Amino acid sequence: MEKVLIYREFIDYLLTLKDQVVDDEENKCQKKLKAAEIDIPALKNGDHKAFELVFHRYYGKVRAFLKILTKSEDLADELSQSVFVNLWTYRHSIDPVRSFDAYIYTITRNAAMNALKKRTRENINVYDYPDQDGGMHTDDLLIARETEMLVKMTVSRMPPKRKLVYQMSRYEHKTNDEISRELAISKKMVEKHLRDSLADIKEVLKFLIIFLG
Amino acid sequence: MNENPENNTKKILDLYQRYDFPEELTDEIIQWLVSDFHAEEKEKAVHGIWDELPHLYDIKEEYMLEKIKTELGIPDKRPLFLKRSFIRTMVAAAIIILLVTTGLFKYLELKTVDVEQPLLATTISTGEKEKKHAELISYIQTWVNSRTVMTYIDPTEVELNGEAFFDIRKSENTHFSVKGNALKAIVTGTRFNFRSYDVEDISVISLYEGQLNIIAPDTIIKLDAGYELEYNRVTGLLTIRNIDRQQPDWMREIINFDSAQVVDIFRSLEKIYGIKIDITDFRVTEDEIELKFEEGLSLNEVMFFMSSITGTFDYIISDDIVYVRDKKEIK
Repeated sequence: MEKVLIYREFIDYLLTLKDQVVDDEENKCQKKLKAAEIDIPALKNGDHKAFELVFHRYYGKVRAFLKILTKSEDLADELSQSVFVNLWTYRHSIDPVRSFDAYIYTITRNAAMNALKKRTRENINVYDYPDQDGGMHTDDLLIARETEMLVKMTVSRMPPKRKLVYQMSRYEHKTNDEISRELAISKKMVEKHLRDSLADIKEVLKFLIIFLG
Repeated sequence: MNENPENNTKKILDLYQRYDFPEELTDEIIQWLVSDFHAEEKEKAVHGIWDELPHLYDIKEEYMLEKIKTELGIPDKRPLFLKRSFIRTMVAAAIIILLVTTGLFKYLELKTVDVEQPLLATTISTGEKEKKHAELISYIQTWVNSRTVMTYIDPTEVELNGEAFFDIRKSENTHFSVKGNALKAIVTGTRFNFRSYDVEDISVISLYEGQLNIIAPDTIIKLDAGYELEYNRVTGLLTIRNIDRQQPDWMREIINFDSAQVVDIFRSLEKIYGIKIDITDFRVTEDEIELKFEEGLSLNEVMFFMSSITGTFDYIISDDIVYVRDKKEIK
């Protein structure tokens, strides 16, 4: 029984250690998150500690932002590294009068946009080179494309059945009777799915005024 | 044609930020994003994303800093014992020693412990439509939603497959954590709901009081009261949003059907109210509806509500049988 007691004490001790590790981790994070003051003059003068402070303050945010824009973990890693390398390399050009947050935002945004432009370079960008056919004004054509894309995004997020019914009706031009037969659901259900899908689309397009015809 | 391009742009970027789309559509969105079209509005919306992002701690931070410093030729002046690689080696060594030692103690314990010693691990589980309330330890109250398995690993940690609400009184020397399939919440004194079903890709932690430190796969996030964090295991996307309620819907004893067919709701009502619902024409019950109602409502109130929103059926309640008919048929 003595050994059991020792074992229990040991387990308790391990649990205490674990709590301490959690505490330390939390404190470490909090310190980094709260390290708000960035010393721009020191950074411009090549102070390594000032650079480390900027890095700890911004790395998580820069990487998360790049991941949102590029949709790629690997690209976000690669670009966030280049953001901080460029920040250090061109530190002399930082304007201490301007907001540092705006500065780091700009270089991060540019890094993301350049990478995305590289990705689209292989294809013709339909938003830069619109068709001139059909007599439609360029702006109207682009707005129509943008709206169509927003509709596609909305359809893509619909529940599977609703999406399927919408696609069969709008893209495959099937009648409600045909959809009802093919999916083995009532015509009323088809109508309901179509009503719901149109409501979803109407919701995202509520800011637009579209002139039809 | 377009009266407010800013809203349209914001909507596209909002959807793009929150969800993953098929590759072809993603390419189209990226083409739109990098083009000069509506450039001013897009810039405003992209800047908005930046402004809303908190300063996150990223677990790759230390490693990346070392990598960048090496690339830039910045010397690491920290003494050896402060370097991450050294700390990692030491931590790994310490863990191995602890494992070996624990294994030895465990072996000795197996040899000597009375087999009737109580186990540390306890499990609380709930079935379909079953909810439970339990006091884990004196300062932790928990309410467990249906289809949940919660394993109490030690006095400081539970593992969760399902959904539970925790009300934890602040206790000075105690930390408590709840581990889901992707997220882990570390708690001192707080009220929060944790939804983490293994079969679902999305985990959600909603915080009603206090603060939470949440360990996600790539980061640690401090969550404030009045916010909830959603994590998608498939896409890796983290979303933080406001919540305007004081407790989760299921805690307020609300029955919630999310896009369920009327016929399925009828089957549930039969169990809840102990009645039989007689349907002559199943076509009137094929509609999918979203329905939320409090458990205290009478059967008549629920049936009247459903009949009104679908508009397809009418009903007559006779003792413990409800007769459902096509509205037209009754007329």
